[in-house]
Amino acid sequence: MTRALPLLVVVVLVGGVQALHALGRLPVFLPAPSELWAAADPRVLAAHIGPTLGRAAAGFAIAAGLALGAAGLATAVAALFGPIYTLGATLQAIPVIALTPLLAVWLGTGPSTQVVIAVLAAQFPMLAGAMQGFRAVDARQMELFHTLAAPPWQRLRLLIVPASLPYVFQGFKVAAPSAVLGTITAEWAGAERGVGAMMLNALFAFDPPQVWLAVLSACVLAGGGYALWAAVERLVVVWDRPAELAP
Amino acid sequence: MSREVLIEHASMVFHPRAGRRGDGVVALQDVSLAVGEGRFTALIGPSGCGKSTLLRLVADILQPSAGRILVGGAPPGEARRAHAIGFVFQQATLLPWRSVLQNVALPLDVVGRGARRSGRSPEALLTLVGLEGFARALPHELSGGMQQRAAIARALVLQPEVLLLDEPFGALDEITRQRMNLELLRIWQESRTTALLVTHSIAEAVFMADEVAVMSARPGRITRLVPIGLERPRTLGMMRTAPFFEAVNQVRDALFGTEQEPLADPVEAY
Repeated sequence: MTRALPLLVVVVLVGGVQALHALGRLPVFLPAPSELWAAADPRVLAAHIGPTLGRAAAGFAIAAGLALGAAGLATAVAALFGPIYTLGATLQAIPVIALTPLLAVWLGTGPSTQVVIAVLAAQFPMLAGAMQGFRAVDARQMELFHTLAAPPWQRLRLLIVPASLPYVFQGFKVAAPSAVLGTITAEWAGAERGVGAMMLNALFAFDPPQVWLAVLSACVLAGGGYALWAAVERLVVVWDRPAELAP
Repeated sequence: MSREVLIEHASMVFHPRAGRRGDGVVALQDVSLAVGEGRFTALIGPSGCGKSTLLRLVADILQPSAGRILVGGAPPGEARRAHAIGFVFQQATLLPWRSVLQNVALPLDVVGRGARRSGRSPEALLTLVGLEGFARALPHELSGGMQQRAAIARALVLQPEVLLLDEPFGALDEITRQRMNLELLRIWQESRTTALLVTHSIAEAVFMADEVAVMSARPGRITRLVPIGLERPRTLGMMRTAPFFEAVNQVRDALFGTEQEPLADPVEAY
């Protein structure tokens, strides 16, 4: 029942909008589901969704590498913990929308601008998650590894990394939609293709169905990124989740 | 295989953290104790008497402020690095992401499986502690007693010569605890290690040990050594015999003194 409820809400909403359309009561900027369906050209959609997906994935991957590396460094060198966290938070606080035109001037309107923005948008949740996760080892577990005379590499491999996974995945789940939305925002600054470009073009052409298709594409990409990591997490983290993260 | 544990005039002072005021806390003062090869000694005393601290000194988790400790004639650090010390914590401290069998095998993963001595396999140890049906279970699927048995199997997998037990069954109910004690004695006798058990149960200390070291608090020190004359192997029936009660009373006297109950004195009572 609880699983069926969200689906039910969607069905009722879509059906309701379609019914209002049939009654002629819909405003012009709200296309009916049937109009969206008619306006959706798979080739056009793919031509825009593909580049966005690629840029967001590249940005996410780079951000993940940087965040995990920085979190590892912060954990290994206690003096760097505060500065690294502050740097991550500061980068997070810069409005992407303000940075995008600057980057477009520096890097051009090619994919590099969008990837850099995706990195900036996605890095902090992963950094914060990994920094918390790498410290999630409790004192008794450390004592256990001490009595086993475990070398640092074994402590990392057998203790610190597995203990951090619930926190790391938590960060990944939040960061994936951020990477998608960062990419789309960056695409507004003059990309030729991409969901952001599609959105902007449709807006200036006053083509509500295309605008809505772009919005839906963005939602599917962002939600899909979350769902992907949620699924990986469910497969990997089979033990009790940390109490504060439990549903 | 076993090693002798020698504690010679060990003291332990916990200093306040840098920047904080106050004197250090004397956790242990001039403690000496010898546990012969293959012997079983119990440490008993009130909370704060430093018995867990003493165990951590032997395990090389802490360093004594004064005095010295020898495990098999060498500093504890050497024994630890030679994987000669098995430690069972108050909580099972299993890694939640590993199955029960993988938890028991953890020390082998740390040392490298190639370096394994010709001891029991993790599977055989699971059978020894009665968990053969739970090899693939995750720790949170086990009861507290079963988790602690897995922790004991883990402590034995590298065939330690010294087994240190820090109130291993403190969190268990009386019935489970009794059964675990019997199993532990059986395992100890089979593995022929030197054992040092921290407990706050007088009956447990007497039932398990060859010798009970009674400690007192502030500062932590050993006030009396009570030799236990009961035969091996120990049986639950022995807990009803006169020698058992005799030993229990000796330990109790050492812990609380032989003076009268305060309320028995009318002047004190009013």
